[in-house]
Amino acid sequence: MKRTSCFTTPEGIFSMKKFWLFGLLLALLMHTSCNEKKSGITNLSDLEGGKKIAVPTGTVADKMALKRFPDAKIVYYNSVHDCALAVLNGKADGAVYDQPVLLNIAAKTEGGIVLDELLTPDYYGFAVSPDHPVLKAAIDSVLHEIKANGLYDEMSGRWFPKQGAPKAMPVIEIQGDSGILRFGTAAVTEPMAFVDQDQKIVGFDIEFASYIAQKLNKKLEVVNLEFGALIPALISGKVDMIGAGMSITEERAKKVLFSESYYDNGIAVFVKKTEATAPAVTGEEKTDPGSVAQKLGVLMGSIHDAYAHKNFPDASIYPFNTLPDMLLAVQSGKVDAGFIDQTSLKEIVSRDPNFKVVEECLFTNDIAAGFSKGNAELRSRFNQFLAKIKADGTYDAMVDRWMDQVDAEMPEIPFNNANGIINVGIVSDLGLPFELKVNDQWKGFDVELSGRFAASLGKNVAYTDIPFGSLLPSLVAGKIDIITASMMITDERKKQIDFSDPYFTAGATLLGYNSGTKQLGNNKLTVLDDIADKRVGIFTGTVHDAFVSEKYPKAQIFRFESTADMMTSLKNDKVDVAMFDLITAGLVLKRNPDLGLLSDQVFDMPLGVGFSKKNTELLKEFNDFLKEIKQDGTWQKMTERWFVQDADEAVMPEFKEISSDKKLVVGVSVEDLPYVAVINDQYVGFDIEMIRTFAERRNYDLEFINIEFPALVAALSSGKVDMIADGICISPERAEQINFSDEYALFRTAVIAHKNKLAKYEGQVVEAPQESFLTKLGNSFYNNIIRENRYLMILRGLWITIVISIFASLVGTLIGGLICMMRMSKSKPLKSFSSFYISLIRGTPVLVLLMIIYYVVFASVNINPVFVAIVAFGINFAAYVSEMFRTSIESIDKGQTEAGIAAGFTKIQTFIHIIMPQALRRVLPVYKGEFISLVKMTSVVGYIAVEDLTKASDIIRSRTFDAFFPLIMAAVIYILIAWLLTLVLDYIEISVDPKRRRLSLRKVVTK
Amino acid sequence: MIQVRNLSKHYGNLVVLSDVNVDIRKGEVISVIGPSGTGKSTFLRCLNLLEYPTGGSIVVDDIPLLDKKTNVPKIRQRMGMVFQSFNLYAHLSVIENLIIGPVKLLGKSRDEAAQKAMELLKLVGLAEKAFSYPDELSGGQKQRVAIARCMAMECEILLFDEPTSALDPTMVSEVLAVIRRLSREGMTMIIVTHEMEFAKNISNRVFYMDEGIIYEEGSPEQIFENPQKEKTRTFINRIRSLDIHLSSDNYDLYAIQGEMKAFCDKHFLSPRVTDFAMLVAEELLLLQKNITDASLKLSYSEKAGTLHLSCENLGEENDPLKDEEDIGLKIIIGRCEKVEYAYVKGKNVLNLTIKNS
Repeated sequence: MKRTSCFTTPEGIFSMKKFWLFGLLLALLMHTSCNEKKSGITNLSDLEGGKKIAVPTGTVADKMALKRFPDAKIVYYNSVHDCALAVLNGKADGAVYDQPVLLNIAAKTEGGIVLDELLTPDYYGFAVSPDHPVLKAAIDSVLHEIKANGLYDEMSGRWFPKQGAPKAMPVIEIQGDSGILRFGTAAVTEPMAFVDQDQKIVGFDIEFASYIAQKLNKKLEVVNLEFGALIPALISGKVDMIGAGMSITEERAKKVLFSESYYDNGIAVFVKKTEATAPAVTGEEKTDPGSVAQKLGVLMGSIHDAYAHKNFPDASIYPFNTLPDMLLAVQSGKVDAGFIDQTSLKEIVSRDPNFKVVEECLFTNDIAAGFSKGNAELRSRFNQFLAKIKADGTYDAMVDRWMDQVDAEMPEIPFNNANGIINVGIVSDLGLPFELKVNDQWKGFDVELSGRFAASLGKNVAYTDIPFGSLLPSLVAGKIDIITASMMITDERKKQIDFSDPYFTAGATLLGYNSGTKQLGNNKLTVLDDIADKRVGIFTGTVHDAFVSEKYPKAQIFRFESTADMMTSLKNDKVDVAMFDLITAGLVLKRNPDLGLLSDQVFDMPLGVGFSKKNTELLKEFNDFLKEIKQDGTWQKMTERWFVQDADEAVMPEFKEISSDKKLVVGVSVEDLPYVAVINDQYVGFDIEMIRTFAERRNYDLEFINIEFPALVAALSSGKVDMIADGICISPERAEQINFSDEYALFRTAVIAHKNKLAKYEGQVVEAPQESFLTKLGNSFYNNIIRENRYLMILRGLWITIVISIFASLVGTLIGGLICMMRMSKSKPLKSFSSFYISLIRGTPVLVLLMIIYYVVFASVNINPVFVAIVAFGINFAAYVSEMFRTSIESIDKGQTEAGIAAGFTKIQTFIHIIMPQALRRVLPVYKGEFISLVKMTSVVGYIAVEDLTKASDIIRSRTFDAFFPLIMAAVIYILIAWLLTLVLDYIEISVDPKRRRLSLRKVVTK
Repeated sequence: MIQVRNLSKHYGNLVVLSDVNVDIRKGEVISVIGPSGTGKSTFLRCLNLLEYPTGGSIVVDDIPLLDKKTNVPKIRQRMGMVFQSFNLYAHLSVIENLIIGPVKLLGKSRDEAAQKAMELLKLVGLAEKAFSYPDELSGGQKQRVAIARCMAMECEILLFDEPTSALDPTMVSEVLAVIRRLSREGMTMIIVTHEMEFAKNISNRVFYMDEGIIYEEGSPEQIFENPQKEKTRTFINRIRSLDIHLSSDNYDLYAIQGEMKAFCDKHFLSPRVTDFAMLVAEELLLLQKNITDASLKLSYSEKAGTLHLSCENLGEENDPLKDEEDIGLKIIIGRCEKVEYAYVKGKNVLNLTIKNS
């Protein structure tokens, strides 16, 4: 499953000049090799055939590699450590370098080994200047000596251990009377010559050089140089001898005199451990559970940490200080999954059942207590104690208590004659079953274990709460005596502390979370109940609202005013699913191939026509009519036409025009087929056909009024309409307000979602058909304006908007002037009234005002809604402009009034001739703004059944489901209207400008 | 023409006018002077009911102004008011300012009013500005237009409320010139002003207002030369002399000279005399030693046409006149008619009369 990442450009490309080209080339090469399945490298021959080999720059390793693997791809890195890292990360198949160095690296890291077979043998030698054969002889003799007396083997063991880092440099006594031996080295090659943690230069070569110096009775001076400078330094005499894991080569031998080879090594290859080569980590490793999780949480410094880094190289690993932090991150979706102990699983899930297991047991590891390395006695006592409790059944009881139950209690532990204290390091929020602090009391398996241990020693126990990552340092520093914190035995930790015998075997579980909106990849919608925690779109005021709220309380409900809006939201991923009635759903699906049906078995509701509670006669009449058409086959035909067949294709039958005294006003809200729609400027649909039939048969003069869906009931209650229809479901709540006819159709609900959220479309590539923007625009234009003569609707709406705007502003200005005068008068009642009017009207949203006036004030009055709109907007306009007038008047200097009065004008004359002209100039700019506001506010008149521009665009939208075009078109038209109407005001503003009147008087005077 | 009896005006508890009684006859030019805040403007504004009196009566041409039945606007049409802040109609041009009253109130035709307006503008020297707007005029020009506007209404009496207070000295003279001309033509005028010289020259009656009443009234000579009542005298004196007090050697010479110059300007003294006064004052001050409590007084007597400068300095006796060689002294003596020294009550007193030419 491991895939090589395809996006790296290797560091340290040899020729920086051709960096980009090479990088590009390399990327290409890498990409082509990206898709190969990687098998493990177990011997040299596996590296044949164009594998990637990592080498450090500036060495001969690349030549060596190419000699052996002519078609290998060489990748260059800054240092041999980077090469090894590349191998471990899968960016290279092998790293080639000197064997001892590679062994050293392999010993210190995990996951890599050095292949036994060497590329080429290699020999290290010390070099001296050709002028100093004596020195060379000395070196050789030292070599023979230490090989003979075993010192050489000791050195090898010291500097090339099988595991771990080289040991420390021994102290070597040197008298050093006869001078100084200057030893040049490049202290970058561990373990030949390198800088240790005390900043001293140490290594095999250094030790060897010390012995040589000792033999020559000279002091040793170590000179640290660049590798490439060693030979020049030797030749120029700056140093006497050089050594740094330097290979004896012919080329070099031309310049310097080599000693005998002091270390036979070779060029080896470092590769990644595979299944075949890798010794198992104590326990089993499972393959990781798919590329599901991208963000993983682990406890900092825990074994999960290392495991995750190793086995999920592509995931982002987030370390957390405490378990609760990590769990919170999983719950909130900051990480996709987190690693926990298998034993904690039960407790965590019991606290929040939304946690779900991604992988039950990734690997297991033994848990033991930790002791500092110096405390071997305590450790052996513990092991004895452990053996005892395992034998006498206490251990089993503990396991029962803590591992199988969820909320156990600490038992009594007898601390008799306690003298002395054992300090135990534990982590308070690792949680049960191991340890937990509840109400200041510790409890858990580890707690009991360490408690019993202390008691067995006759000591008391003190618990120190430390973060997990600080346990080891605390132990090493002696702050605590023992660690019991469900700590797993790892080699890494063994370097610092000693473990007791394992007291438990723990598994690592990968835990995810069932959050609502984001799923771990594979969770798509399969059945209806999957919407329980999703974003659901429904129609405002429909029965779907109550249904979803009750059945799926965790779902997020989004309410929409129209099918078109809901559709757009679905497509733009603002909701996950949308609920429609089945017929509409069918039409929606037909027009949108990228949407799919989740379920059509949601619930069924009967549809009825609504009547005012007072109008029982009409109700009865209609019910009789319903029975009639069901019997005579009309109903069946209608159902067939609108519900079964494609409603788009349906043709309304012809109806006679009835003119009679019996008037019937029917309120409908135009949503869409199959119930009520407007096509070619005609009302069509099942409900329309049904009502027309009713009117024809019962001789009613029929009139349809188009009202927003939520306002239908208000219209009925206030008597504006006699009946209402638009696929209205009979619900008990509605039945409290109005009467319903008998059921005339069944309303079935369907739930729709985007196909790539639906499980049943898994694997299909779903894309909405792509069109060029211009074609789309052209299509939109045609659909929204030309088709079905929709532009007529637009023009009509436009006219209505203009009429309302102009008259409302006139009415508003007049009323506003009146209110202003009252506000500025000296009479207290007038002042208060006008203040009150202003606050009241300004504080009421215009739509609310509009609906109150239409449905409440003029409830039973048969009044033209356009007139109502003019009055309502006029009242609203007045409240604002009156204050503007007042401001503009009061802003005029009092001296102007005084001059007028003093000249003999009456107050009114002063106002008209002197104040008002000046005030007018000041108020026009803000008045203009308020007027534009008014024009835009008229867009809500749809609520009182006026078909203005916005309503026209809504109707069109309900047919085309096109979100973009009709809205933009409406916006553009509004801007145009506002602009044109304000041109008029601009004209007034200019003509009121006094400076333009100069010209007229000049003529008079210069006569 | 106007009879005012027991006129009073209160603002709540504040009494501005307590009991004003006066008769104003046709053709009189009356100056109303007095300290600030004594109700001069209030009195004026009561005359055309811009302020409504709290008590008393005003009768204009036998019509009681305060009667409910009186058509006050009509009476106002015959009284013109010129304001401190001009108050020209901002939205009308100059000529329109002049014709709006006659056209709307007196029923004149637009042409007729326009012709008359142009004549009046010529009279005040602003015919060129007929089509300009008030915001394009200087202060002095605006005020002259304001006067012309009143004249366009054919007023019988003009009320001037500190007409030049808002103008800088260069513009004051042009406005005063127009007013002077009006007075020569026999217009009845009541002028509230701080221009004392002007008031003296132009008026045939002067009201000194103080304590909410017309404290003292009389001819200009009487009020300005021989004020009878004490407060009048204090007021007049104050305007006739300049007193400067010094408390240390660190006096501000420039400020002192500034005040002196303003004083000289006010009294229309020639530049040469003004220079003399300034120079002499400077040298005089330099002669004073160890100033702890000194005062400088510059006074002008119009009758005698003399300008006096005296200096009193508290301190030890020290006669500066003794040192005849002193340059400063020489400068002083050269410019003075008379120089006298006396040591009186612990003060060194120097009295100088500055040459008049």
